[in-house]
Amino acid sequence: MTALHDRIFTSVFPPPSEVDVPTPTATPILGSSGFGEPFGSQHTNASQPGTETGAAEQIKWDRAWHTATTFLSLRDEPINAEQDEETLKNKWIKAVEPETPRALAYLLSESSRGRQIRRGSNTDDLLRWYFEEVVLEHYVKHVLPSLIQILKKRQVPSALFEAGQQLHVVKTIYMHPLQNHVAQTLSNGGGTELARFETDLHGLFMHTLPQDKVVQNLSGFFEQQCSLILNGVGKNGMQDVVSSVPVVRQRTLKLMQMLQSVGLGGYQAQQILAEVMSDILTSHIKSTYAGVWTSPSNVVEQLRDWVENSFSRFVVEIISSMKSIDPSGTDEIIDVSHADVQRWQEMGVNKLGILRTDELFNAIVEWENGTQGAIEDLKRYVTTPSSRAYLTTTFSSAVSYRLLQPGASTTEILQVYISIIRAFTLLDPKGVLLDRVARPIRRYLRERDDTVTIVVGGLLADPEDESSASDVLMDLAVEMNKSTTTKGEDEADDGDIDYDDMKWMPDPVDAGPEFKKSKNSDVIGSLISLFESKDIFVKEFQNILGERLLKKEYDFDREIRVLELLKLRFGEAALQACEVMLRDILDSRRVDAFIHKDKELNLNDQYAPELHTRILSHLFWPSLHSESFFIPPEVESLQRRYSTGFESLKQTRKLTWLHALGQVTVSLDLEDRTINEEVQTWQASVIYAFQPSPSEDSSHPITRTLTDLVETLQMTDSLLHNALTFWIGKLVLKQTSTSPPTYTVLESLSDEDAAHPGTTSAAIAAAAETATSAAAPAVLSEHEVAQEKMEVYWQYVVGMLTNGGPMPLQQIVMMLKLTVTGGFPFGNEELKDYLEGKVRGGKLDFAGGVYRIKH
Amino acid sequence: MEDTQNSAPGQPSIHEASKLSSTSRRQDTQSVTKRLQTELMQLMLSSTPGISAFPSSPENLLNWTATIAGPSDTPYASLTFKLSFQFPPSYPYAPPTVLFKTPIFHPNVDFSGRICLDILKDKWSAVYNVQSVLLSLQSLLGEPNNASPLNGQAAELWDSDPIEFKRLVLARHQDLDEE
Repeated sequence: MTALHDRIFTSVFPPPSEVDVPTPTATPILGSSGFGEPFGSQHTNASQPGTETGAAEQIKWDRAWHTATTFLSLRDEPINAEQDEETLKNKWIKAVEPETPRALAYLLSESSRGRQIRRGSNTDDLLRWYFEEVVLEHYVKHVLPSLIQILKKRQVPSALFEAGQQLHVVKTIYMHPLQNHVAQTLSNGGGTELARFETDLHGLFMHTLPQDKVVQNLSGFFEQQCSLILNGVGKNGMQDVVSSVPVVRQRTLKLMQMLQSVGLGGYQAQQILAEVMSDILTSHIKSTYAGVWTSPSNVVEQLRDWVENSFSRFVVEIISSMKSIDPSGTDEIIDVSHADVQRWQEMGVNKLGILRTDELFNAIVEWENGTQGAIEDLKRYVTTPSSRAYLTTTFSSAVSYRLLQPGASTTEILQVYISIIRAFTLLDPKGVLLDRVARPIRRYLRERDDTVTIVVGGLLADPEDESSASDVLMDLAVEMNKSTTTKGEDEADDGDIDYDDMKWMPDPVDAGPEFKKSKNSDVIGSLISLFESKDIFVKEFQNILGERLLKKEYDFDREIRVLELLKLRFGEAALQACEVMLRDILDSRRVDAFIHKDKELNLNDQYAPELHTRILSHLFWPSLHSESFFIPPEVESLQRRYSTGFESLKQTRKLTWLHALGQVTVSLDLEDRTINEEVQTWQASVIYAFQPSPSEDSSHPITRTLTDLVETLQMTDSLLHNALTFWIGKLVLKQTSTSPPTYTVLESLSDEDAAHPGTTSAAIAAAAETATSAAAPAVLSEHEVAQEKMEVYWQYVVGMLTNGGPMPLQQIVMMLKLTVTGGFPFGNEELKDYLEGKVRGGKLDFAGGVYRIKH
Repeated sequence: MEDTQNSAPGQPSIHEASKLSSTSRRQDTQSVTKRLQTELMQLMLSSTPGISAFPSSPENLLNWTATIAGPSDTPYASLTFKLSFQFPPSYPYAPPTVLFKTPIFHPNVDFSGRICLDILKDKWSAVYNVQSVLLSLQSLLGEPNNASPLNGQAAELWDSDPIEFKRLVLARHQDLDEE
C-alpha cells in the first residue's frame, strides 16, 4: 500500500535528485523512450522540429549533461583559503576531459536540438543549474558558516581581511570553470552570462552575510584607521600624520579592493563611512573637549582647525582609495569639496554645542573661572531657533530632574539659580533664553516657604564673614556689594529707544512677541521679583531687619546699605516702616544717653545693674514677643525710673516694656568660680530666682523646685525649660530630683562632676546647644502670628455654632471665608487640626460629621 | 412711525432710572454688608457672656441668628433664647427687625415673637448695633416694661404672682431643635 502510494506520489512530483543526478554513460536506454513513445508531455514539444527522433537526441543530451555536470561539480568540503594558490589549484580545478568542451558547447548552444526539447524545464540552462545546485549548495554548506565565524571574532581589521580573502578565493574557484572553459563556447565570449553570474554571486554574498557584523567590522576598521591618523595630531602634530598616511592609504585601498571585488564595497561601504565619520567627529569632540572649559575659549577655533586639517584629510584618503578601485563609478563617489569641509565644521560646532548643552547644568553648578569658556562655546552654537530650543528644553529638563526636587535645600536651589542667571546673561544678553529656563525654577521657588527668608538673609549677610553658616546665601551678599557699584548702568539699560546705539541688535527670532527684557534681570532683581508683590518681600525684610536690629549692637552699616538699595528698587513708601525701625534704633541710642545723664533718676548707681533700652515705635515693627514674667526687683525699679525719665523727655508717649526681648550680661559669683554670660532676659530671671532670699541660709546651695519657679517667675513653661536647660548646660544648675523636679545651684564643681566629663558634660553640652539654638527669636514668626489670630477665628466658630447649630467642617470654612473681614487665611486641613484640638480640649463635640458646641 | 420716534427717547430714561436705582441699591447692600462685617468682628472680639450672634447663612449677611442666655436672677435663668435679626438695606439708619424664635412668656413679647422695645422702633439710632440690641433685650428679660404690654397676662402676673409667672415661663419655653 505504501509502495503504491509512493509510486503515485513520485509520478506526480518527481523527486529532484532524479532530475539532477547526471545520467551515467553506461545507463542503458530505456525501452519506452527508445521506441519514440511519448516521453511525458515533452514529447509533443519535441516532435515539432521532428528531423531526428527524440530518443536519440535525448541520449545525446543526457550524455553531454552528464559530462558537463561532472566537470562542473565541486568537492563536498570547505575551501581553505589560507592554502597557497598552487595547492588550491590542484585541489579545486579539475582537469579537462577530452569530451567536455564538446559537451559544454552542445549543452550551451542555443540552437542544439536537445536544448530545444528541454526548453522550460529546469535542466535546460547549465549555468543556472551550476549556480543554484552547485555553487549555492557548496556556499551555504561550507563557506558561509566559516565566514560568520570569522566575522563574529570581531578582530578589527583582520576579520574583515580574512573574510574578504576567503570570499575572494571562493569566488575565483566558482568562476574558474566558467571563465576558462564555458565562456569560449558561448556566443561573443560569454560576457553577459559571466556578468550575470558574478552579480548573482555578489548578491548571494551580500545577502547571506550577517549585515550588522559586516557593518561593525567595517566601522571598526574605519575607526581604527582614523585613530591612526588623528591620534597622531594630538601627540606629535602633523609629522605623524604624514608618516602614517601611506600605511592607511595602502591598507584601506586593499580592503576596499577586496570588498569591491566580492561585492561588499560600493554604496554600502559609503554609507558606513558616512556613519563612521559622524561617530568619529562625536567621539573626538567628546574625548577632547568634554569637561574641559577654559576661558577665554578657543575651542571652536581648535575644532574647526581639526576638521579642516585632520578630519577631512582622513576622509579624503578613504574616499580616494574607494574611488581608485572603481574608476568607472565616479558619479557614485562624492568628491570632497571645500563646501563639504565647511559643512563638517558646522557639524562639529553643532556637536560641540550639544555636548556643551548637556554639560551646561554641571558647568553652572560647579561655577568656576573656566566655566565661562563653556558658555562662550555655547554662544557660538545657539544661533538658530532649533539649537536655542534644544538648549532650553535640555537644560530645563536637567533642572527639573536634578534640581527642583524636595531633597534640594532652598539655599542650594537659589544658589544654582543665581549661577544660572549669571551664565545665561553671558550666553544671551537679551535674556530670552534665561526667561524660558528660569520660569519653572521661579515657579518652584515661589512654592517654597523659606525662599523669602533665605533671600533676605542672603542680602543682609556679611560676605567677609567666613564663619557664618552654610545655609546663608553668600553669593547674594557678594552680588549685593557688586551692584552698589554698577548701579549707574541700569539707567541706560533700556537701550531699544536709544537710536545712537551702534551695538543695537534685534531681539532673537524666538523671542515671543510680548517679550521684553525685564529691567530687573540681574541677580538681585530676579530674586526680588520672584514674588508677585513686593509686600511679601518687604514684610520678610522687615521681620529679619527687626530681628537683627534687636540682636546686634550699634553697628548697622550693612543694614542701612541694603535698605538704601531696596529703596532704590521698591521706592521709599514701601520701605517706610523699615526706615522708621532703623531710625528708632538710632534714636534710642541718643534718648538712652540723654536719660542716663539725668542725675535725678539715679540710673547710674554703681551697685545697681545698668539698663539700656531700645525704644521702638510698635506700629512700625513686626509683631514682637510680649510674654511677661517676673523681673528682678532691682531691674524693675530701674525700669520705673527710666520710664519716668522717658515720659518727661517725650511728654505724650509712654513706655511699654517687652520683657522677653533684650540681653543681659550676667555675672555669677559661685564658690569656686565666676561666670560671665551674655544671656536672654528670661534666662537671667530664672537664675536670679536662685538668689538666696534674706531669710534663707546662704551657706547651703540654693534649691528650688519647678513648682516654686513657676509660681515666682510666672513664666511660660517653654521659656522656663529653655532657661533651666541653658543653665544646666553651663554647669551652674543641676537637677537633683525628678519628682518633683528640683534644681540646685552647683556652688562648686565637685570631683564627681569633673571626673565624668565624658558622659555628663557631653549630654549637657548638647542640651546647652539646643537651648541656645532654640532661643526664641525676637520677632514673631508668621506662623505664630497666625496662631494668635486663630483665637479670634475661634470666637467666630463659637458664634457660628451657637447660633447656627451644628455644622460640618466645610460649612464652617465657608462661613469663615465669607464673614471674616480680610479673608480667612487657613485651609480646611489647618482648621480641622485646630478644631480637633478644641474637641480634645472639651470645647467642641464632633459626631456624625458635624461640630457642635459643648455647653 | 412717529409714535416710535416719540417714544424712543423716553425708553432709555426709564432704563437709566432702573439702572441707577439698582446700582445705588447695590452700593447700599455693600455698605450694609461692610457694616455688618465690622459689627460681627467687634462682637467676636469682645465676646460678651450670655449673648452671641452670627449670620444665618453665608449667602446673605442680612439675616442673623442670635442667642441670649436668660439672666440668672430672673424667671428666665438658665434658659436660652434664639432670635432672628433681619437687617433692612438701609441699616443702620433703620432698625433691624428682631423676633424671638424661641417661644417666650414675657410681658413685652407676643406669641409670635414680636417685641415691644422702643429702641427697635422710634428710638432707634445708628449708633446702636447688634451687641447693644442684644444687651437691651437681655436686660428686658429681667426688667419688663409693664406699661405697654404685648402680653397682658404676663404683665399682670409679673407683679402679682411670680411663681405662676415662672411656671408659665417654663411651660411656654421650649428649646428649638438644632438642625
